[in-house]
Amino acid sequence: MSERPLLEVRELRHYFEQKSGWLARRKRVIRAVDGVDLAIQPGEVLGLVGESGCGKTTLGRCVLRLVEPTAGEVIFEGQDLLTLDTTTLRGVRREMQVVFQDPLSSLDPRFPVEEAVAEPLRTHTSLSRPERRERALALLEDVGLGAQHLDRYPHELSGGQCQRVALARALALHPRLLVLDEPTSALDVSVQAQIISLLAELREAYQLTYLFISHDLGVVRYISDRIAVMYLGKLVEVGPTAAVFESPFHPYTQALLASVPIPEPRFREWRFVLEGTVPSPANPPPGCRFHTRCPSARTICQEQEPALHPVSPHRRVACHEHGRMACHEHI
Amino acid sequence: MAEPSLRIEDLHVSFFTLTGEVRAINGVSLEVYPGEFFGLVGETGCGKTVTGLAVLGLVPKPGRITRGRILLKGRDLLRLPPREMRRVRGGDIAMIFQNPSTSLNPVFTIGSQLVRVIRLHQGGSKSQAEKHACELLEAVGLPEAEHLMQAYPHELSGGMLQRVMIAMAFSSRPSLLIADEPTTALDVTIQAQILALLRDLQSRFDITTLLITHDLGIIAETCDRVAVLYAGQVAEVGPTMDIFNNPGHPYTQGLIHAIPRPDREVGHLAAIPGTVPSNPGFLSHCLFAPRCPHAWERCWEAQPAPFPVGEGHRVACFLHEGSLLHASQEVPS
Amino acid sequence: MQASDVVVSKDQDHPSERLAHRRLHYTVRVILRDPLAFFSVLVIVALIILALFGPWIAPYPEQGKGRTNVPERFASPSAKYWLGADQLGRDVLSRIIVGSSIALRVPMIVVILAVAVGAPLGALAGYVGGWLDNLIMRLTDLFLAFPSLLLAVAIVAALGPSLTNAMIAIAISWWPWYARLVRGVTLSLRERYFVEAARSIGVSNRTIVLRHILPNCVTPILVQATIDFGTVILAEGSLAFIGLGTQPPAPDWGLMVSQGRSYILDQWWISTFPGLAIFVSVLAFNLLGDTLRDILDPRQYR
Repeated sequence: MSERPLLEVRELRHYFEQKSGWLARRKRVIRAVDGVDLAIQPGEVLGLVGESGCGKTTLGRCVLRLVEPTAGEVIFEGQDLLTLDTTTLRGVRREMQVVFQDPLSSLDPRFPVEEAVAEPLRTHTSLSRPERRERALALLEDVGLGAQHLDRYPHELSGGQCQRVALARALALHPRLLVLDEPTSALDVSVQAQIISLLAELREAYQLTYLFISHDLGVVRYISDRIAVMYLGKLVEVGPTAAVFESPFHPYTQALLASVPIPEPRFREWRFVLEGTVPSPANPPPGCRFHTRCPSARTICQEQEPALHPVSPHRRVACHEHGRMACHEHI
Repeated sequence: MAEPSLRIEDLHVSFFTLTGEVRAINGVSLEVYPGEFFGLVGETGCGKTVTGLAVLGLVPKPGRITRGRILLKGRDLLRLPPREMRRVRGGDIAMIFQNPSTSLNPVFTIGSQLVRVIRLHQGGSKSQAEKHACELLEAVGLPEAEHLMQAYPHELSGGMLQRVMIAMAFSSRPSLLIADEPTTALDVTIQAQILALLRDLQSRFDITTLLITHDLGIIAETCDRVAVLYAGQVAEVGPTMDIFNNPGHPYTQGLIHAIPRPDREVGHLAAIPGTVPSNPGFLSHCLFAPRCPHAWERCWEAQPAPFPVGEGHRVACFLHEGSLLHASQEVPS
Repeated sequence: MQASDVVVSKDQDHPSERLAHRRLHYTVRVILRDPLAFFSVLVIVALIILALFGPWIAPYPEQGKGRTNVPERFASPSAKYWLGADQLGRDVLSRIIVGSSIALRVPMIVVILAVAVGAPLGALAGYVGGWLDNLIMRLTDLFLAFPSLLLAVAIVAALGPSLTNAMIAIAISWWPWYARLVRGVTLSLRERYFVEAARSIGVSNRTIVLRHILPNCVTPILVQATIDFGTVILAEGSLAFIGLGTQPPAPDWGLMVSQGRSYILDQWWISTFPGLAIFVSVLAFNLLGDTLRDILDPRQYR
């Protein structure tokens, strides 16, 4: 890929303080994102997976600069977003939009659909009200809704319909990058399938690039070109989707894939279950963060933190021994 | 086949709201046999949670069971006087819910809450109950049980709290455990641990488990038999293997094909068009007909009864009316 | 493009007019179902009618406004004067009817003033946070530290006793409550996704507060304001009672209770009926507040 990446994240960190204890004397530093390097090429879908507390949502917000990262760079189309002033940033915001997890909560309950979808137009263009309405209608049609939805309120729509409205709003200014934060987690299976298909269609039609954040591996596999796995604020594996799913290198990725229940009843042999719980992000284990739960941990894993290094032209892993686990059941 | 542990017959539950009557459950019948792991699956609004609550007599107002029987080992739970029912709740039937952090009282320690439940159903002194509580915590895989007894709910993670809930549920050795989306709020690796625990406890103590979930993957991996609910009715019920390998109901087929799989490439994700009817209880045609790719005139005239299509496998769809004739010609499995 | 869920969408597929119809229907049903709600609505509608048309409804409107009728002073309740006559011979019923306009006008003005000052400050404090939040909150602490009545007394004492000054005084001691209320709502709204979405679109903070935050505060403000109507009536009545509010001969209910104090043993009707009027009105507003909450909230979550 000789093209310049659309988005590049370098050494991104986001720490935040949490006061606890008597009279807030103790201060804990939560390292939500602790040194992430990532690049997204134009037109691709990068899936970002991990469990709760791994920092993927925070990373998404840092990329959009909805929260201020503590350190690092976020380079979008060659510009470091973190150095921009408010006015310039506002202009850049046209190019990157976000869709959230809870469709009902991502729409202002007092705004009818038309106003919600037209809000970006109101903010950034000088179109008149009828012109905005026309554009809003076109956008709604692109996401599978119609004129009858223009005057509805969010609470009159289903979850799937709300998510479509949120999508229409995100597309209003024809952004280049769309950050999708668990867009289908709150939806039923049948609706989820509709929305995912819609996302695939829109990607073609609008020439979009997606950062798709999710904990649902099945969905990520379906829609992503490449996948990045996060654990406790750091990336542990990055690579093309098919390759990573077929032969995951990092033990955490392997465990993750082995833990997802497959809708196909198999021989009743219990598959591998990962022991232990996620350590607190305020106090990550020394060395490799995963060593406390890793079935292949060795001495070096407790002492030295492995860097995310390339193991093949397109794959990177952060592991001292990216070996395989005992259980190969569906790998 | 043995007598079912739990039998639900023609259950109807309605919610009488200010905007009118909403019929949440419209004729659900199923049997759960002793010692089996039974799954109740469906999407939002299909009535699976209400079914679970109905068994325990906990349907919240303004809901009410309007018709049907719920038999636990032959006893009709709906006819029991309230005092008897209270003894059944938590005693004979235990239930665990989706969000463990809201199921526990945040101002009391884990230990004190466990002890309370134990003494409520089994009596005994405080020290006896404490000993029993420690044993239970160890049985569910929680280390350092004595230490944990002094902890408060907010100090434990979601997975650990769910284990505590399971311990509480098992404290009275119930004959039936109802688990309502017990792992939905948990991470996928923790979910695997909890499901393994449930299966393990079930085989060790021979407890009948009714697992309510929306995740077909969980059903496939843990359940012996499953009922698929749609709009308050049973669309299909049968052994898990049969349901997945040979789904009879177009809704089941649609669901299975709409799930993206992490273990292999799915060429095309077939979405089920349309949405669930919002007040299905007043309709007299097949509830799935508007969305069904195979619907024909018959489907609009009446509601299909569950037609048998195999050993213990019933499908409520007119496509299978008369299938028994074919099934009976096959060698029973 | 697939329009798959347009074909068979949610049942509530009706145009907006029928929606307004349904909301009205729902509101009416809520009111009719609950006897207390029904009572409160009845009383308040009656109050409004009296306030608007008092001079035409009252049997003796001139006396209502203050014209004395000394020959008939202390007349007890009879066919001529239903609720009796006061110490200056004025028909108590007429005075109550004419006074209802004060009873409604005052809380309305006070509450509007308090909201106009308190709500924007609260929204700013909640949304911006940091030092501004601290500043505004310490300001509210300051005002709230004084017993409100005492503060009102001090202000009226400084500016001189009159209805207008009483209203100003009450509004000044009232705004902190709204600032607090709106700040609380703003804090929770700030974390909602639609605010984040607005920020990601590039909407300016000022616009977010004006178009997103404040409109969503309307419901809690409305509910609180309705209940406050009653409390303000009491506050204003208290000020009038101690002579620092409306001045005679205005038919202010609190004033009437105060003036009838000396005669309470023998001519009990002079204080009692205005007192009852205050009681019933305050009760009605409190109940209306609760009803409003039931009408406005569940609609959102149906």
